[in-house]
Amino acid sequence: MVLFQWLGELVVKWTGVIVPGSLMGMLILLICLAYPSGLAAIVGPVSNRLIQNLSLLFIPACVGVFSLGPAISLQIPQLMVVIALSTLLVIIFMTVLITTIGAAKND
Amino acid sequence: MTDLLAMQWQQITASSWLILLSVTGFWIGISIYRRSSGKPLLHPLIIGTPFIAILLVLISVDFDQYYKANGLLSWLLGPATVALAVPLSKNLKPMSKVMPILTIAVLFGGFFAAVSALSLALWLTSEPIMMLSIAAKSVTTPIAMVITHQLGGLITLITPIVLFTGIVGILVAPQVFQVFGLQDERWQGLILGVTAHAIGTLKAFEKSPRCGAFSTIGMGLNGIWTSLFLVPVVQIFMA
Repeated sequence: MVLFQWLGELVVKWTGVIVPGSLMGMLILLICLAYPSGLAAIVGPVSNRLIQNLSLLFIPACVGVFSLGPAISLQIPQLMVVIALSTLLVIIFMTVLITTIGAAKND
Repeated sequence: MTDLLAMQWQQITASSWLILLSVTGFWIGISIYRRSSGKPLLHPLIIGTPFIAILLVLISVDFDQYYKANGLLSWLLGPATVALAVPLSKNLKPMSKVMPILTIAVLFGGFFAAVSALSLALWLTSEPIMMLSIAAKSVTTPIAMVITHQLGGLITLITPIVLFTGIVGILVAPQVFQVFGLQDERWQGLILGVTAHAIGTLKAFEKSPRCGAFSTIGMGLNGIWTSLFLVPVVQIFMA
């Protein structure tokens, strides 16, 4: 995993694309996994462990919410409205999109 | 290359015993969450983080000090993002048949998610930093964190934003599916993954493995796709 992240960071540095290094690393690993090799057996267990305990990694940043300045904390209610509304809109949008495509295909 | 390694090494070695606080908070959060048989409002982060915040005040450690002490955990986010490739690749193979619809749905859905969040944020909030911090809300947390970092948004804000998005997503999605008559669980899964990321994916796996697999794909592809278009789109909005 670490190796692929470094690979990703390097590729990003060389090519100057705007994708974060770790994401580039994920793409490289994804491409490598598409070809049958022993790689899946090696990275599989490590990846599982990391993903299972993923929430732990978010804790440090998340704690910071309680020490945000008043300018930002005062806007949290608005922020929640924005999130709730846009999430609802996207779900409706995608549902309509998919049912429309599906209906068009069945015709 | 060497400066990159040196920087990461410094981040790791800055870790201290304060990291134990995070582990304890996480452990308490997880055990309460499991006992509640997985209620989204009792997510480990919702239980664990206030607990740590209170402790930090009690032992008078400020947030910056705590955050630096958790360098190891923050550093692990990189490899963890890379690790997402494994479930993605496992689920991608059986889906080649429905790839066209799937791709269209993810491309439009992911784009719409970011644009709707940005437009609403522009309308309802006044701080530009809010816009930068909310843009990546539909993306799974590790990816959202790197994208937000890149945008210059608040890393601390993105985790609860993503979490809240996921909770809203799984609460409203079943109603929307019913109103619009979407019964195919593959597409239900995909929508849950794109809009409610990991929380949606967990929900999808409760329904069926097939639903969960589509959700994993939706989440992963949306993460990659969003990281590609978000920077230019945000620049347009901020202009």
